[in-house]
Amino acid sequence: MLRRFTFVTLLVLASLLLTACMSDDEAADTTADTTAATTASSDESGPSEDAVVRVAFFADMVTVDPDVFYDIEGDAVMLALYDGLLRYAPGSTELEGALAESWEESDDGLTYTFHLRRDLKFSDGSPVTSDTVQKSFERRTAVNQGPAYMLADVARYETPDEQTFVIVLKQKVAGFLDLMASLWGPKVINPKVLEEHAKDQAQEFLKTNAAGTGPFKLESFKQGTGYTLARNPNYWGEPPYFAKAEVSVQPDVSAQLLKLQRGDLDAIMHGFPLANLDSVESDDKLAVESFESLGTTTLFLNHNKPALADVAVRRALIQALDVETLIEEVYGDTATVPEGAYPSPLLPDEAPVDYTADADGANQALEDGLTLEVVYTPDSSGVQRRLADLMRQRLALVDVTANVRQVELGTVFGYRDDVKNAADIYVSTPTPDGAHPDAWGRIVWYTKGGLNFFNYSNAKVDAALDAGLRAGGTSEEDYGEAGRLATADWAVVPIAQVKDLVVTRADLDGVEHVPAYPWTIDLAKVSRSS
Amino acid sequence: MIRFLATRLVGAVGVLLALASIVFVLQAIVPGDPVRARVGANASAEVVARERERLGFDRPLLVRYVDFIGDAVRGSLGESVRTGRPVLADIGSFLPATAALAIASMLLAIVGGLALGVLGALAGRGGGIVRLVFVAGASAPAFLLGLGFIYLFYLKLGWLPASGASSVADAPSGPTRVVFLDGLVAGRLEVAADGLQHLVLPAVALALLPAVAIGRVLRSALIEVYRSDYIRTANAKGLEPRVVLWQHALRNALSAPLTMTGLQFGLLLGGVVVIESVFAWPGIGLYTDQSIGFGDLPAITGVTLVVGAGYVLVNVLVDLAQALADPRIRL
Repeated sequence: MLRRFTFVTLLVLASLLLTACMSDDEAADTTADTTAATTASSDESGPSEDAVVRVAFFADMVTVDPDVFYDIEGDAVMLALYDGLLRYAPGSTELEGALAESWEESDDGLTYTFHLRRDLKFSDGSPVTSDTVQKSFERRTAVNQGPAYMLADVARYETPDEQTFVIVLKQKVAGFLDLMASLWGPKVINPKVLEEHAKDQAQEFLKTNAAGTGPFKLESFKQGTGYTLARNPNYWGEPPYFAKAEVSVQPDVSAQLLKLQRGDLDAIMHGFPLANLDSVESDDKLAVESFESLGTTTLFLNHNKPALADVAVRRALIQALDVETLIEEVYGDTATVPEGAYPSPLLPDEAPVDYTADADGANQALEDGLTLEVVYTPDSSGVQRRLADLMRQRLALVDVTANVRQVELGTVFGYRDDVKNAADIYVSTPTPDGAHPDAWGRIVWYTKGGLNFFNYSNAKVDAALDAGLRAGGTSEEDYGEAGRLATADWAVVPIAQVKDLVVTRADLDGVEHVPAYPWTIDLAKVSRSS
Repeated sequence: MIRFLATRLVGAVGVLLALASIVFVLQAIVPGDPVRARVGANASAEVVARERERLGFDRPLLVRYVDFIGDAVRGSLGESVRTGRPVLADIGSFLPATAALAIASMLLAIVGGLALGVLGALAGRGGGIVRLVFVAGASAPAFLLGLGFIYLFYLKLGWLPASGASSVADAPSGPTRVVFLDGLVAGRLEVAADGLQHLVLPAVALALLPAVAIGRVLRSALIEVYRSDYIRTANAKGLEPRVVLWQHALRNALSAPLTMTGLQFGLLLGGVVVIESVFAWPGIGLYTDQSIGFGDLPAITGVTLVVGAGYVLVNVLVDLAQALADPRIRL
């Protein structure tokens, strides 16, 4: 009996091994086509009655409350459920109306008047008026979580009629309209829900339920598992092609790729390993698209450490890295060296940063045996780890020892409280909240800026940013000076303008992306070709 | 028996207290600001300060520790910095899926270990080859094994789903929070079958390593037992090999494999983090993985305590099982 059992076991193992060695095409013949039933295709351009688009997130969304959500993973769902007054046009940093059809800014930059579209409705069919918009804006301030800063300088709201919503500011806010278009900007929430759950401003309810005007409504929210969205029949814009959008939580990118190859996912929206690109590009069932984004890989150099206190040393380190070659090696054609101090689309005419490689100069400026701690926060594509590793190799050429280490986000946010004991260099790819130069400069350079991890402070940079704010424009004249001064300090050094890489099934059409909305595509715009 | 259980209970409290203290101190001394990570980069200083105060991160470490222990005794593990929900409620959401996975894996590991041990001890060269294949599988890193399984059984063969706990959109999510059990309770067999299918790959991937460990110990024990006089006597009496194995040899060889089962259960709970990430299994491992990235101290500590309690409980059960299997052991 034992012999028979052993024989059968070996036979099964051998069969499985044989199957694993079969080519993809052979295996496909033996594989039931489960995708056909779930990915109904259509030649028609109109909405499909039952088609489903499937994407995955690497991490669980903890909330779909637009006044609390301040993350990147999850933005595809937030864009699908809620609208703000403005948004960005696809593929650009140009503002366009969302719930507002048109808008005006007063000469003093303190009053913004928004004219709402007519016949706007929430997903339950109830009307959207200027009064409902005001209630939503007031809720954001009352909830007072991360995104509340966007309305911190509001003096009052006015609603002269049902279609007109006026915001009066206490003082000028740089890029206020960009904040209105931001992915994390104020969204309009059904006041019925706010009234029904008035006790906590509906915070508990809106964690796992939605009440917006977006192209989809939330059908289910299963923590740790995924979210199902269904087409909103009362959406003001063109109805989505897909009747449903299913978003699953799948932390492993390789598992995501296998599901994409089999047709159980329609797109991997970010975090795709660059090393796998060649194999995907040769697969005619898949397509790769890269989009401009505002994400900028930046080196934060801890100038508080004695070894990096001298600006000449910091500059020498950058020269030793040979940034152009480094970015080419790490990112290939999915990133470029930034043209200036700001993410490229924000200040097109600014003065270029001098990244010229100079190993000899670096050798002279750097003391022998310098040891640095280089840290990075992990990403699913592994690109930041690779960048940090290659930095280590390049620094070794000028006799600098770089100890590379992965750290978690919580750790990095603690650096500013103890900069003397923090890492020496932090590699990160931040993205501004809006497509405005101030939104970048004020978080990475301004004293106490949100992403100013090592407490960089230069009074002249602060003053230049404030001057840009007063000027009210977005030109080189307004913000160029701040960028030039900050880059001359070599403490916050942008080294790569990265592209958002989206891998989709080849039959997924209409893939649209907005540079200021990282890691996502517009689920309302995609369709499936036959 | 009662004395044994009481002693173990007191010991368990001590173990859990030490565990909680170690994890709390380790997490607390690691530099970081989970509150800032939660509220976001641009949150005002006032928002950060208010959240820090609300979550108690502004208090001295010792005060936080005493409060934490006091709350834990009262049945509260605090609020997760990442999800904003009570940790115990979060664990209650995610634990059933992990428990189902761990139990299924352990059952598979016991069956697999039994087969490996018996084959290894008695089946000669063929058993050696089977053992070699299993050992090779168990030597592979868990994530690689998981991906290999998905590649073979999902992409190539199309037999089993790649990830998640269910493919049914309107699958019931209660009362047990284990899909196949909830399907059975709701009388929806298609949901139960689908839930079971989703369980297979992660359970097998998780079971391989403990199966090999249990099998190795059992094999050694069986070889030892087969050399003993009473087995020789049983064979001499003309008893069928099957009877000798099941009624005499196996029972006397079980003590060491049972101890190993308890140890492996602890290791298995460690492996859950990786396997749940690869298979997107909505359990405590997935929850922990995401909490670590956030520096979510209350969540990490809460999970450690609950998993530690599970480990202690399993070892008590193993001791009881040993006593049942081997009359020479008295509790």
